[in-house]
Amino acid sequence: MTGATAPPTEPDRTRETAQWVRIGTLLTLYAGRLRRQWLQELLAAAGIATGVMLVFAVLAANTSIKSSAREIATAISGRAELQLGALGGGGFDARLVEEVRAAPGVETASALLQTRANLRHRDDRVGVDLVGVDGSYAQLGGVSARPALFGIFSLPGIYLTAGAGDALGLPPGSAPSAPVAIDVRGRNREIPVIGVLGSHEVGPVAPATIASTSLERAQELSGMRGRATRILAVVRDGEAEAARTSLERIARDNGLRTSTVDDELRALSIATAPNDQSTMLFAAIAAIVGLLLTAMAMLLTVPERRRELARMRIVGGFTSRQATQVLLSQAIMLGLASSAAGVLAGSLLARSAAQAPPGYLTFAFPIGSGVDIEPWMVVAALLGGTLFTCIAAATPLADLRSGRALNAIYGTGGQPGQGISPRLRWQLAAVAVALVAAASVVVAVWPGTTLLTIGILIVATLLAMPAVLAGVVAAATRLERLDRAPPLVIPVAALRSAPVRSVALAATCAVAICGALAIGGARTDLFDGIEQDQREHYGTTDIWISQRGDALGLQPFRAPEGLAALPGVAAVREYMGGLLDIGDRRMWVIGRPSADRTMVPPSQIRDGNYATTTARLRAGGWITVSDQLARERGIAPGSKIELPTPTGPRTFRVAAITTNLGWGPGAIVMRAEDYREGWSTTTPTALEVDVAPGASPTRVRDAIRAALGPGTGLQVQTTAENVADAREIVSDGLARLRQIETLLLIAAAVAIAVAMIATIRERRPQLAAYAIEGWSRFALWRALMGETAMILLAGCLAGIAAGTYGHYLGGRWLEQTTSFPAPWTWSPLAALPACGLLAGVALLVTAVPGYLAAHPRGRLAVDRA
Amino acid sequence: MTLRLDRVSRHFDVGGETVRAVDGVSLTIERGELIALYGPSGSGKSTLLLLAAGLDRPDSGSVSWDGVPVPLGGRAADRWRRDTLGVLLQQPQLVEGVPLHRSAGLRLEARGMRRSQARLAGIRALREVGLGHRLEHRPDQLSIGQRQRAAIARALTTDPALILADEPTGSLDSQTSAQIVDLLDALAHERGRAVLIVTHDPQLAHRADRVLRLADGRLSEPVHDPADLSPQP
Repeated sequence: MTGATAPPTEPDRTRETAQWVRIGTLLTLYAGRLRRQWLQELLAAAGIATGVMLVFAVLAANTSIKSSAREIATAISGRAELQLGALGGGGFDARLVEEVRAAPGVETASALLQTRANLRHRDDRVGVDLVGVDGSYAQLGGVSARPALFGIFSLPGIYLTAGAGDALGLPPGSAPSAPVAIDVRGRNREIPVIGVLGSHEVGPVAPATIASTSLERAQELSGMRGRATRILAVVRDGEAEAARTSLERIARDNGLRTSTVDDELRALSIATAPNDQSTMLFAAIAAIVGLLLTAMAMLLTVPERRRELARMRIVGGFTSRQATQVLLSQAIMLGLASSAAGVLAGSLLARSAAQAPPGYLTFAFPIGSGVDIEPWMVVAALLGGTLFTCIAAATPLADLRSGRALNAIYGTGGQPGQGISPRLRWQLAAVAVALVAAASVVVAVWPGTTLLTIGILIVATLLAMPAVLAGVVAAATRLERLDRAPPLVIPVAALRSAPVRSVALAATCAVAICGALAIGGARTDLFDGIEQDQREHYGTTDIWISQRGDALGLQPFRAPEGLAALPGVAAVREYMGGLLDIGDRRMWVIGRPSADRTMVPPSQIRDGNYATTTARLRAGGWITVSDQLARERGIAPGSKIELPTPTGPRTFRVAAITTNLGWGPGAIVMRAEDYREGWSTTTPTALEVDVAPGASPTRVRDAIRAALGPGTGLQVQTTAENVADAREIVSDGLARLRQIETLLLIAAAVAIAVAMIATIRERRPQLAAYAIEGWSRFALWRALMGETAMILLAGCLAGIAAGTYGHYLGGRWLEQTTSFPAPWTWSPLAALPACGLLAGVALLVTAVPGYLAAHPRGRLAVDRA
Repeated sequence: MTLRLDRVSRHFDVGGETVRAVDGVSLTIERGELIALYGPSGSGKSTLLLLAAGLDRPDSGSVSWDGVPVPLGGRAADRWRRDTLGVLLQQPQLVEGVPLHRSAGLRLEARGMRRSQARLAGIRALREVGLGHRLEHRPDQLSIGQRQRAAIARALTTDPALILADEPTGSLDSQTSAQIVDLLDALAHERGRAVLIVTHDPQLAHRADRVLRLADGRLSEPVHDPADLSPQP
């Protein structure tokens, strides 16, 4: 800080030596700019804030599942570091906790019974984790030590977390006068709710859907008398190794698995990895789009900033460094303030869009639905928004090169600072084509570079935009030559005279469409792939009986008797299913009755012959595995694999490699008889009912429901109903992607509309001149809307081309990286909703200010002169 | 045909202070007359021109054309401006990026004429103002004087009876100014248009049939000898 206190009005040699402008002066200059150009700055700020909001909302939404799971796991486990867990759904003898307590290195231990349950209160239902804890649970610390839970062991009922209570219409602090109905493992009971615990009582666990009670009551409710599913152990200081060794011995002796409490999070991490990876891909696309929106909003103010820079240099006598400092300081101030507004809006948006965690995950992990905003997200969004604002604002600095300062004031074509020469246009287009070609070659060889390629694709779209827009303008000019065509001369002239502004707007549209199509297309592929899988999975029979809400068929229950004798029933088969931890993977194991119509969904086989696979599965001793596990273990059809079943390690041969059947960590399909042996169980987790020829599945379903009676906790559904439910679950799972896609389009539409409003306002003097010429308000409004439409058309065309390619790349990456079934499908109509939404919102939002601006005061034209 | 302003006033509230931009001005312009409205910057000349064009509403008084009040809004105002009025600004607002032969006839298109006919009429008007050799040029390829002539040509396409010009030579050198003044002079005296020119250029005012001096929003006595005019800021 050596010098200038105020902008000199004349070139001043003493100022030439001044290197920096004081902060006070910078603030004064910016305050002056805000007074002069307040609306332009406000609109730019709105555009920047919209982009940052998009980035921030996506970041917040994407990290919340795992972060809430971490908090919940920590809160439930307290000081416990090690745990023993059952390999099968039947649990183990709860008295084993005494052996664990007595084991070397263990300070204390607590037995838990954790199982899925459904609660009903009036017409509201919710699926919860029913957790029964023994008397020593309070010694673990964490949430268990909260006084609010002391009643667990003395009061005859259950506690609900606020997440579960809210779903049943029971706010925290309340307790219903009538008991709630609870379905556990096919049993239906009524039980009082002792209390609904909010964050004051149970901290981060509050948003999760958990029902807690004593171990004995949970055993009674689930019919698992004397059983537990987990033992949490607190290790003595300095005796971790001894504790681990002793727990491993107990696990080995009793067919259990031992792990650290953190392993639960690792398993969740793997379970959510495919979803995370796909969400990350899409979030990255959305983030790129958001930051570009930010840059575009700033770019729209560039012509005016160029003029101001030139005035500073020529009239004000600022040195290049001082002019740069002024320009960048203003960009930083605007960027920071707008990004802060964007962070605030993004946080509100993430909270309002917060939803229950994907349904399929809640079967395997206790996770909440809160939105967790971490400091790094705020910093990343603020810095990213400000950086992109500065980059966009920095383009006028090119004028500081020798001999260019006058360009900004005396433009030679169109509006000053807006020129894009045809040569530059084609050079940019050539670079775009070269970039896409090079990236395509790279991604074909290394699929891991997909994200980078999509980023390059978006950049290439930006570079190609001047050429695309020129093409649209050329087409409009040809149309304009027709004698009775609509008068396009004013919009065409506007686009020609301000190509930078027009390109920035069209590019915003193109990038948003590209991102939305890439995300939406891949999402549709995923949805279609998983739906096809579900249709084939459930299509093996006509009616399914399982525990209510147990979509994966994981909860064992005692099979009701006499179903086979019901009229219309041709056969009843017992289906087995469960989760099996293989390494850190919590795999879905499907035990199919060998009489099933299909043993494995044919569309999901990636390596192997369907007929051979079916025959081998029916024969027994053969399984199919998902390709993630196959890749990890180097398995191919015909290989052997050892599975850690509750009865000890068992070796199977691999009949085929499949997709992950819609379950992130992967799936294993085997014959139900093999499952029975390995898991030493005779309890099915679902019943498959074939109806007799000519019988109506719905009538048979009703007959089964009647036979089971109103007190049953079992759900009887036709295959069509199961498929519909599965669709809903898949839709839930992909909801975040849909949100990102919609958010992206709306953000872009708002950004375009805001930019158009700013543009229209700047052009009021010109519009006033047209009005003086006798152009009617409607004609001018039509011209403005025509201009917007042409920009949107150019943006949509470029966006559709890039988005279709992005969709292909994204879908291919999903299949190869996540193992989800995502067959690539494309329809020419796929782009319509995205283009329609974006163009519709942009045109609608532009229409009103456009109509107002189409009737400018005549004085504006004269004042300009 | 006569444009008549009768005790027209227009006041503005600026920072709590009332500025009388035009204060009780009455004047009449007949066909075939070239009138210069002369005065310094801020004297209310442009406001008076806007009132005369029906582009601003007077606080009091009336503006009429041929005895009929000049319409201030709606389709009637659009029609009046298209059919009767031609306005020239100091910075002619041509349609950027479009060749002259295409943009010159736009006023006629705004009246609903077929595009091909409007274009021919535009080309005729451009030839009349001496721009027949610049038909393919875009505004950014023209000098300021040529742009002003192109604006005159555009105004002429609809054969307006009244031409209002706001500092039409304000950005021009003396030679080009003279060409523009010649054109306006011919419009008034050879083609019988009523021409009102707002100016603070005494050279332009010398060519007028009458010079009206405006100061602080009021017309002073007519200037009988243009030599009395002194350059205005």
